[in-house]
Amino acid sequence: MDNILISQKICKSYLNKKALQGVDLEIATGKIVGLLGPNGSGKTTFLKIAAGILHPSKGEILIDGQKPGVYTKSIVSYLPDNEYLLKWMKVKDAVKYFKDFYSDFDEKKAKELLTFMDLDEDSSVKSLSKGMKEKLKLTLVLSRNAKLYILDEPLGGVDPTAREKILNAIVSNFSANSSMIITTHLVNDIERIFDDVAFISGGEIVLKGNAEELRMERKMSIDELYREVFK
Amino acid sequence: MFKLIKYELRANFLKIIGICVIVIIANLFLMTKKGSWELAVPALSSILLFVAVTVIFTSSLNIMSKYLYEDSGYLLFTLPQSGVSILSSRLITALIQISIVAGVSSLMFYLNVTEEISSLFFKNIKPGLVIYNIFNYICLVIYGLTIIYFCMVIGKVALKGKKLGKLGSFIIFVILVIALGWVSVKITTLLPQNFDLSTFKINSNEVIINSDFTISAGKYEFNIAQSILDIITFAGLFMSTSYLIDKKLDLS
Repeated sequence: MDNILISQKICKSYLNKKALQGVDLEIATGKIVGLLGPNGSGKTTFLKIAAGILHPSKGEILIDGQKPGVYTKSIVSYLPDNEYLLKWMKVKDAVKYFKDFYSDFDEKKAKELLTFMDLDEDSSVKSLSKGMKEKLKLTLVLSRNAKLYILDEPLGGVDPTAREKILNAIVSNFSANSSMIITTHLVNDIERIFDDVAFISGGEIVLKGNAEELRMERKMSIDELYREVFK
Repeated sequence: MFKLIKYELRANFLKIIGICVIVIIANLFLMTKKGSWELAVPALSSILLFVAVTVIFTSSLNIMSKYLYEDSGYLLFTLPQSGVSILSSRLITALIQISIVAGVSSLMFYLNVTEEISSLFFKNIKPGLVIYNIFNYICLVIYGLTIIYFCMVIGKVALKGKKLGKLGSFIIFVILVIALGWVSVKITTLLPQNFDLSTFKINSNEVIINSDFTISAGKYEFNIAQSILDIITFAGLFMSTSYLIDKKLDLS
């Protein structure tokens, strides 16, 4: 099976702080990978490097065989954990923006997802609640037919009902030709969709493997394993 | 790149319109005071022009700063666009914005200082002079913005933290401008040859310090060495900024 993402000994340092210390990780095509770890473990730093907005101090990361750049940005659909949409935009402007810049953007899929998420196209982005903004961001990101989806805390700040809706949207819009890497603290809510998991602590991968095999081997859920690894 | 320009202009559309409306209303008010305020009218109108251009120029810098230091950068820098494309779109957008505001403000200033709108004004305009001034203006804005954007990006790349990055950018800007000014004085002293656009001849009678272009006694001239230096500086800074955006820029 081909790997869409290969990272080899990725390090990232900020002056005297080491955010990543030699992360080795592969993501196979068709897999959903959970990158799990406590705050400050290096999850977001790794995702930002994969998305091409941070540059590693050492090591190499390849996405579809290429270093992060213009090409990889065209095949990676990245959901950051901040409010990055422009404030002047209405929901329909944000959809148009993505359609204009990403050739893999599926407008029909976006409209279906907007309906599914109960989002009004004429609403202003700045008037949306945190949960609604999260849904809009996810709609835009999932409406692309990308090779790799990178979702940083897709359930952050949303209520349990919305979480279920978002998870359903993720699962139903995921295709076998693409791959996905997700970070979350809400392991219990999301673990059912993981094929593989990687636990990261202090900028290093401390445990990784197939989610089902880990459950069988350790006789516990991924959520319980998470609590044990990071206790 | 053109899509980026479209969205940049769309994002700042209201700001541009707002500034133009304020300038027009303020100048219309000044027109009503022509008889009583006398010289204060053109003085205030020119101040309005200066303030309006300064506000829109600063706004162009703020937009770049927001992309570098705030969340909106995540939208821009995750687009499949090269550093050259991002920088070019920023420069062209800023030029368009500044030109609209400068154009409206200049027109209102002209209407305030002139006694009557005469067709002779248009008859007396020399096309060569207009083209020369427009070219000079475009060079000035693009060159100035390129220097500032370079300093902003290198400050962000070299120094971590918003305050430190911005302070570093300012210090780099001051040093760079002083260095370029010093080189400029040296080079125009050593190589004072000017190219006269009205006669297409080279002369070295005048030493034009720290200026590419000059108009004197109906002659449109530029210092050859200074212009070459400026082109090299612009190309170097433009390519360096694009490279830094592509390969070194880290969003926080």
